[in-house]
Amino acid sequence: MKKIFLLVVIIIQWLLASAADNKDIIARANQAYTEEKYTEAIELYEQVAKNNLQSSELFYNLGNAYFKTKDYPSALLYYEKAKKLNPSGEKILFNINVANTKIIDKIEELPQPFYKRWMTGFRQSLSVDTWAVLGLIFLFVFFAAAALYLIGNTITIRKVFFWFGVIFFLGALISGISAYHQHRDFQTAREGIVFEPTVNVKSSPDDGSQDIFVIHEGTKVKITDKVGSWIEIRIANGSDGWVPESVVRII
Amino acid sequence: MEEWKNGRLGDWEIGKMEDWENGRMGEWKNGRLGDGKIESRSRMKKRKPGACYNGNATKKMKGIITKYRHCALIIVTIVFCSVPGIVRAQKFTASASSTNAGLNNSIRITYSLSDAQAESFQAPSFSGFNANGPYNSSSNNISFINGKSVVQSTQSWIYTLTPTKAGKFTIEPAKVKVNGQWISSNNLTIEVANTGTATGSQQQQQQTKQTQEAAVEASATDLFVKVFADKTNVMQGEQLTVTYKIYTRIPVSQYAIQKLPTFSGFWSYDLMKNKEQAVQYNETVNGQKYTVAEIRKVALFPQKSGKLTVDPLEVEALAHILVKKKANNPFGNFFNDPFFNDPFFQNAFTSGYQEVKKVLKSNALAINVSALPAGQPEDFCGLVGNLNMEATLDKNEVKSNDAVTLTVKISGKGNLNLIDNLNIEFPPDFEVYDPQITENISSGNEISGSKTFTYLIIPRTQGNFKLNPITLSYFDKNKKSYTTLSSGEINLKVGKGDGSGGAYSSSTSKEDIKYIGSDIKFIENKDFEVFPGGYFFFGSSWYWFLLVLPVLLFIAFVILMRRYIKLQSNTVLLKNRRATKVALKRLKQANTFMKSNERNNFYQELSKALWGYVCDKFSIPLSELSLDTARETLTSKNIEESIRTKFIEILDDCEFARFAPAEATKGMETLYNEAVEIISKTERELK
Repeated sequence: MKKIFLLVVIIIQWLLASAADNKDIIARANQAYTEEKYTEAIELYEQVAKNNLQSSELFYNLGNAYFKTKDYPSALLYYEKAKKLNPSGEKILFNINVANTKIIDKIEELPQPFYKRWMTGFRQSLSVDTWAVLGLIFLFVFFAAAALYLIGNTITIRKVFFWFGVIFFLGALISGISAYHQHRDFQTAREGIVFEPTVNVKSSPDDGSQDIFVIHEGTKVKITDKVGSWIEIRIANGSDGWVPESVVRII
Repeated sequence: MEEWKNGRLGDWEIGKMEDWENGRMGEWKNGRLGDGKIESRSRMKKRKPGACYNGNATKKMKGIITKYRHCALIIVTIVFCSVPGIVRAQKFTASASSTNAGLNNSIRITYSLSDAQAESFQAPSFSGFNANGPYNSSSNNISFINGKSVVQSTQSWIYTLTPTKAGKFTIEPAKVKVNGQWISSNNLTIEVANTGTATGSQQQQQQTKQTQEAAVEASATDLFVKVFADKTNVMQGEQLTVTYKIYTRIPVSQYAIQKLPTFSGFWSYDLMKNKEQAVQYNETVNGQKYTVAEIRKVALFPQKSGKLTVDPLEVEALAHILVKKKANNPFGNFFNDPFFNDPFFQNAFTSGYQEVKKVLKSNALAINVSALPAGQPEDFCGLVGNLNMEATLDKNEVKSNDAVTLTVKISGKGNLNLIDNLNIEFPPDFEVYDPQITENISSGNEISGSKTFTYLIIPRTQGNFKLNPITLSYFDKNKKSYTTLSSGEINLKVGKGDGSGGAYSSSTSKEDIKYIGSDIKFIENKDFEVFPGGYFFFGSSWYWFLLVLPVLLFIAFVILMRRYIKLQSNTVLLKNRRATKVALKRLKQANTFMKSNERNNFYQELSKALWGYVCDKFSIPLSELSLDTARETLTSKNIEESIRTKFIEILDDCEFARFAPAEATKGMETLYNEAVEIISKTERELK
């Protein structure tokens, strides 16, 4: 019993210490960035990121440091990672736009129906976990309202709590669905950034097949299929084809 | 030969040594006269033996000379006299490499136009031949003779003809348009033999000529080219001067640079660009006296570090060598004429000076270039030297839309050519035109000079503007360190214009915000948390727990509420409803007791009926039952005062009657009636 207690204490201390370490490294990296020592900043940020630790701010800063060293594909990769964690981050979206002006490919995005755009925009206005927490809060409020409705002994009180309940139930439902969709997108929709200077996109997953179009480093692609060491990609204008897996780094 | 086309080599053909010049001239001119024309000594044409000294032509010429000897002499004299400041009429001539050929031989036909610019050229029909061409060439030949320049430009069209059949063919004249006039060349007659080779004296002639040239090679000690550098260990970007010198002990009539060194790895600057004549002086090498001419002097700036090589230079020189004449000298008979026994000609012709062509190659030079030290400033462009910078505005206060000139002058020693533009950040409201660049480079031993950038600026809006200091970095040779020149801050005050500037009058038109550049936003500099990757609260066990929790709580709440309501209805409501029933039952029992006159039982039953009624109806626990609580409960239930008092009175009476003698109490019947009455009254009151 005493041993287990000791172990728990040690683990907690280690966790706290490593958390403090990471904060310290991030602070040093931020300092290096401010002093325009970008390569040093990259090293420090990467040190945190390689422990499979993440946050939109960390990726955003790392993307910035890469941008400053003119490594635009890496910058875009990390901006997109940051965007995934925080889809509505204003600075992130701004910097993605700036970085996109630095890469070679300018791809006309396929226009989406307005309702789809609105829905995606609404869904992406909050992150998965914010939606999840919001949904839970709404659910609690809904049940509280339902309970008060049952207890209520005058008609007015019961009416008020009835509508209260209806609204919060709908809120909880929408939040839950949004969280679910976004979570699913996160887990399944795999996207990547091209890291080879020039890539010929093939019509089928084999070296001898026809080249359909050419993309360059920094371009964002959606990964739709995988055969052997080949992946099927789709670019923003809707064209798709096959490229070797190694040319793309997953966001 | 490419360099030739650039028209630069002409500068280097420089005549030499006055004492033998006259004699040489004589031979030269006469030699040309043999062909009945003055031919350019263009280096464009390979002077193959036979190309100029045509055997047949020579024979013909001999005839002509015997016939018109005096005329020929007159021509010679005219040419001699007119050497200074010659004005020559244009000449258009055709010449063939040979006039007789075998079927398998090819003949080169050259049409040359001298001292004129052709507007168009019309070739004849080469009937009987397959013609290839024309190959165009033009050359300028400048010779310095007795310090005077003789400029001759020649334009040539060269055809290569292959005979298709044997026979005698006449090639019609070609025409050329000069100054709007057509000029025809001479006719050419070509005899094509059936045999495969060229016949006759021409080949013999060629062989003789070759042996002659071989026999009179100038020795390497008589004539050579050497390259010198002022230093062989330099820093990257530092200037070194390379000089090519020609050493000679024999007369050289002409020399032309045939192959220019490429100076790979260097940035080169020609130090003799503006000089027409080479520097000449005497020098003694190994006890021998040489005449030395500096034929090329170049300032080199190494562009990379390491071991670099300065390539050799190739010079073709025409040396003038004394040889014994061979019997078959084509001019022998001609020059043996008594006329030429004149002392003037004696020296030149009878002793047999021979012009010999020799290709001289200089040595190569190895240069050790050390790299510049590390820590170069960002704007360093490889400039090494010692420089100054001065930046001035012609006025410091202007009205908007008025032009201002910014002059940046960089002066000093160093390779100023490397500065091709200055990086000046002008405010976006300034309209700036491309700078005018003037260069003033003096090529002494060390290149120095100044380079001036003049910017015309038109400020479009008013305000106080500050130009960031203009900077220029170079490596200071003396201090051995990098130096950054800075112009200092430049201030310009722009006042309100008079509005005549047109579209820019600031009061009426509004400007969009100009985005000078796009840059990313700054990093998140606050403290932030990092989480293990791939973790989501959504979908975690905590999420599901918190999702299910309110549902469970609600269900529990509903169950509890139901149970409570049930409890309430079981005890209170049921009792309440049954209270009257029980009371009536008890009253009925009391009535039976009354009839059987069982006094004690009657009172007991009546009292039970009343107490029970109060208990059940007003949910008073039995344990708390007393007269006081009954009175309180009745009061709290808003029972009328009279009923309340009556109720309590009857209860009191009942209690009293049970323990008191019969006479002292009210009659059983009265009490019974009163109890029934009060219960029904209370009942009515409660509804």
